[in-house]
Formats: sequence, C-alpha cells, structure tokens
Amino acid sequence: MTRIKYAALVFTIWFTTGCSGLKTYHSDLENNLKITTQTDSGSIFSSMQAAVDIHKVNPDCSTEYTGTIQLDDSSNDIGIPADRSSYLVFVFQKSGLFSAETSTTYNTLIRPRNGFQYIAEVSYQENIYNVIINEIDPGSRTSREIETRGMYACRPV
Amino acid sequence: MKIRFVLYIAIFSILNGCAGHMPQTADEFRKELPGAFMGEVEKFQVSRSYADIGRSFQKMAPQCLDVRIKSTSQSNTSYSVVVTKWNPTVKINDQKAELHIQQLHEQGVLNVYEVPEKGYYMMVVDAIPLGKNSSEVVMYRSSVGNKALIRAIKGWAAGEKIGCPDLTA
Repeated sequence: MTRIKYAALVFTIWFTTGCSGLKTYHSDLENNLKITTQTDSGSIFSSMQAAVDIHKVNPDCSTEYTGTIQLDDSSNDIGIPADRSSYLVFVFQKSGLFSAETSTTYNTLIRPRNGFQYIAEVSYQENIYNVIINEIDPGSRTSREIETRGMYACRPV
Repeated sequence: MKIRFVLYIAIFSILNGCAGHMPQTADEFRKELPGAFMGEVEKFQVSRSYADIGRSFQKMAPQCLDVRIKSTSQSNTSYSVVVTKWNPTVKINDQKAELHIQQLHEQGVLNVYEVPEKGYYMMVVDAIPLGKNSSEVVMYRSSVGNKALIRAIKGWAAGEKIGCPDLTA
C-alpha cells in the first residue's frame, strides 16, 4: 500500500468513525442477537447501506447511544444486555448516482430475556423495509415473534 | 416531496376551478377526490374482518407513517429545505375502519390554502364489512406516485408482514 493510499484509508476510518459521531458497537456480553440482512436498492445506479444504532434505555426512558453496527448482506452477531431495555434504531441509507441521499429508520424497544436468543430479520426491498424479531426459547428451541414497539411504549420506573 | 405536493395542489385546484379550497375533513376528501384530476378510487376485497384490518392499521400506521421527513435540494443558485410531518389517524367504529394519512408541511412550503390541523389529506382508506370475514377496502388516493405506500397498505389490509414503505423514496 502506498503512503497516499494508507493516508486515505486512515482518513476515511477517522472520518466515518470519529468525525461522524458514530462509533462501532462493542460489547463483552455473550452474543444473544443475530441480525440477518437482505437489502436491494432497486437500481444499479443506487446503493443501500443498512446499520443499527444501539441505545441504552435508562429507567426514566431517556436513551444513551452506545454504538452502531454496519449491516452487510450476511449476518451479524452481537450481545445486548439481558433483562433491561435497549432501543434499536435500524437505519436504511440510500444513495444514488442521479438521486439525493436519503435515510429512513425503523425503531424498536427490545428487552431480551436472560438465556434467550434473538434473531432479527432485516430487509429493504422495492422501497419497503421490514424488521422482524423472533425470540428463541433455549429449552424448547421454539420461536415466537416479538412485537416491535417504539419509545412511546417505554414506561419510567 | 415537492413534486408530490405540487400534484396535490394540482389535483384539487383543477377540481375546484382554482377556487382555493383543499379538503378539510376526510369526508370532504372522499367526496371531492373522485372527480379530481389524477384522483383515483381503488376498491378491492380482503378475506378478513374490517376490525382485523383496522387493528393492522392501528399497529402499522404509527410505526411506519408517524414520521417527519426532511428533504434538501441544492443547485448553484439555490438551497431549500422542506420538512414534512406525516400524520396517520386510525378510526374503528361499528360501521368501518378508516386510515387517514395527512401531510403537514412544517418548513419550506408556502401553504396557500387553509391547512387542516394535521395537514393536507393525501390518502383515505376505508375497510367496510361485507361479511364476517370479508371486507371491501376503498382507497381514495392519487393515481400517480406513492407506489410503496399503496403496496404496504394493501399488505397491512391483507394481514401480511410486509413492513413499512420508505417515504423518502
């Protein structure tokens, strides 16, 4: 790698992670959320990037941004705290050669149960986006869809 | 977004002979849209009760349509920002279930006509009972644009897990 390319790479990483205010989500917790993603911008002249911002939810329902995971068209495994609420903001960002950059979000509260696994199926196709979250019981291995709820569902404790 | 807004103005200006009126209620919208330029009333049947369709609207509309969209456009000589708040309303009574979608332009658009409290009506959807598990859905809408929104609402009415339309598209 030439020095210029190296400098460009360093700048890009610095710009996208530091300057933009985004930081990569990191957790030492055991992975309990698998996110599978399928996106299609619908045009060869545009691209779609999906990401999820993870926010900690405080007892008074205020939130604290803890980090972002870029979602590629495969799967990502992360650990989020059990037995307390987190707020997930799925961001779908579309940019094109002949169109303006747009972004839209799908927000949901989640309160994972200890020992349970969660699978989030994230999709953006033909200008429709969707997030379906299933909870898997570790004992019976049965799965049930959990209802997505916005911050309006948060009750201060 | 600007194009959509111009379309609504065009539809109702032509309808009213440029008399300067936009529907102020969902009932006015239903009455005035069928004769309007680019106004369309679409009807289809769904094998679900109107109450179930209403519950789907109650679940999905706040999640997907209660949004604020900011769009910017820039050229060498101009820069404009339009902020639009989408306001969905769902009503269920013993006659039918209704979904009203209104757009309130908060910034960047000069509102020439009187604006209803939650913004101009852009779509009204009624689910009317035909039988115990059968309903007719009537969409009062523009004949152009909003393809993803229309597809999403049809999916919600049918009870599909279709998700949300990208209103920025």
